[in-house]
Amino acid sequence: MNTTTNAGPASRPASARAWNSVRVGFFLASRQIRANVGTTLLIIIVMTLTYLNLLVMSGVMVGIVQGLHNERQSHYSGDIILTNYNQKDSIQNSSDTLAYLRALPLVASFSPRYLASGVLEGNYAGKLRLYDKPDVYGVNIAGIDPAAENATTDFSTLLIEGQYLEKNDYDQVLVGTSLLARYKTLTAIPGATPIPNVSVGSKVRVVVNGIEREMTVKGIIASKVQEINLRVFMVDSQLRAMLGRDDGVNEIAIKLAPGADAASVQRQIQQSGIGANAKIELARESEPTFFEDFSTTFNKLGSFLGGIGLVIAFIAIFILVFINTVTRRRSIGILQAIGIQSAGIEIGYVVQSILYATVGVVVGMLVLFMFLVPYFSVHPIDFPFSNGILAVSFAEALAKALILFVAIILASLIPARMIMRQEIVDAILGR
Amino acid sequence: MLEARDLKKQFTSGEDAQVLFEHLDFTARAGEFVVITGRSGSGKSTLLYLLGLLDTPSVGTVTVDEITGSSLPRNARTSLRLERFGYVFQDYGLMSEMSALDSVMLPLIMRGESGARAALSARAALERVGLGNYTEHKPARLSGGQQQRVSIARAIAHNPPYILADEPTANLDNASALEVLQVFGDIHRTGTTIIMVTHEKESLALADRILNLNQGTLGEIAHTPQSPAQMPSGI
Repeated sequence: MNTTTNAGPASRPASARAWNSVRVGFFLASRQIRANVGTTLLIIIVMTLTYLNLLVMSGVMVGIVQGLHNERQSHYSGDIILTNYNQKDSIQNSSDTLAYLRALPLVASFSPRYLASGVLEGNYAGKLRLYDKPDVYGVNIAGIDPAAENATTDFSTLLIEGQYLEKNDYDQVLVGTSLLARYKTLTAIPGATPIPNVSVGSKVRVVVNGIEREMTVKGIIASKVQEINLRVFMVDSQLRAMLGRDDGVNEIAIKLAPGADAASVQRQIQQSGIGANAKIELARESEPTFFEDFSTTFNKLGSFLGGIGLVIAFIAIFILVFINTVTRRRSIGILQAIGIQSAGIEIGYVVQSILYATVGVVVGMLVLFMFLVPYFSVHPIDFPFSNGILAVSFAEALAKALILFVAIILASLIPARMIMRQEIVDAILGR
Repeated sequence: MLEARDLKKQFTSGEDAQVLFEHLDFTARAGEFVVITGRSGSGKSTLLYLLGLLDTPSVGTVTVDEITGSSLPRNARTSLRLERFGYVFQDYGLMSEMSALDSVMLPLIMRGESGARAALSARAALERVGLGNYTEHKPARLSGGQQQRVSIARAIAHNPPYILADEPTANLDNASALEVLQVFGDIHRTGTTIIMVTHEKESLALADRILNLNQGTLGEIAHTPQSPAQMPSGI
């Protein structure tokens, strides 16, 4: 036999020792994984669920606000919305503005709306005595061009009962659910009493600008957007007639062509001089301030819940590796005895954990982006105040994967290192 | 040469201290087959662990080829063990998830051999112990004697100058024990130094020297080593 004649440990540089430890780590990890396929699959499932928990909890929270934003943009504001300044009754030179928008190539459609305050009254036929309290509701009345509105905001899809308006539908209205007692909504105005016993076909009184007309409820509109749910809609020509207004649009919702950059179109409209007559806002800018408060709060809540998920993942891997190292204490002692560096054994555990986390993250991403996000986009969660989607960006998914990796590496390294500190003989003899 | 000088091993439990042995000297010359015997609890396995740098003495030094191994830092001691020693444990010390080939390859990879080269060396070592056809078998599919021979293959695969064996045949039936001792006989014939702790008479027959550890004192027992021809033949 040729015996070794080198000068001992000094002959093996630390860098070579470190590299060999890495190789041994991979070797040990691959053998453990191959020998325990069932356990490996189970841990990967746990990792996948942990990763999804990290993203889905916060994603649902953020998605509540995002869903509300989407609904508002899709069915109310469009990509850009022009509104009159507070001190003005309407957008000045509306006809010029509408003509300009008609000529803008990136504008797919737009819907001018005339707005007025008014009163909606129901059940008046049965209230003949003086002391009978009338069923009235102070409402915003919107005059719309039904075709333009539908082209811009898919408005007819919000119809839950009855039929959508047509251009010549005089004395017919669509009513938001928040105005009617039949529907329990969170968007009702506190203190106001929704009108009972009004449904499709009911006669209602609409009072605008001192003019009172009896109208028929043609349809009921339901939305999570307060501006829609608290309104009564009629064709624009009738409202203009009641208001005695030829011009003077109050809102113009603009839908842009697919792929158009809303901010640059906004700038373009601004530069045309329309900004002097109307506020020109992107959908996000036109949202009420509570949207931002909601968003901030839900983001914090989502991060908090995600943080709990991360701690659970850390503890799960820590316990897993700790139990593994404790039950394999003697084997670890033997490995050290035959010359395997502690670093190599530790790397073995870390490599296993990284593999679990990598596969868990990849499977989690596939489930998330190929199933959950598209599913909730089509079937949003019906929260009382929002159609919640699952709002997770790829960048966020990557960032949380990175956080998970760091947690998992620490969770596997700490118990492995704890067990490496033992005396070899104690480990071998089980002392 | 493997030397221990003025060794003392003391175990402390609370305020109680038990001295297993002290002022103990030991020398194994290159190529020697030294057997250490003694009653249960005499400290012979502890002495073997000290000589193999698996444990640190309370007092004294262990020198391996002029390197004072007992005073090296932990990582350097591990490297020295990898370079100079092969270990054979009473209950084999194999990993349940590893095949025979994997078990033998592991220290070779730690020494820096490529995967292919390590596999080649490991196969050769398994051939030497008569397990050339069992390379892919995991411990659960091997008999006790075969597992011990895998353990020996792992110990000799990197050609260390010293093999330390702790009761290697204690868990085996007579036939398996004889097979294992034959392997040790073959290894010894190649010039490797073997230090074995054992009770078995068959093992004593192989020894160049027999040392008895009794009440903390290491004494040599008069013994006539068998000539290689008298030793159990190779497998």
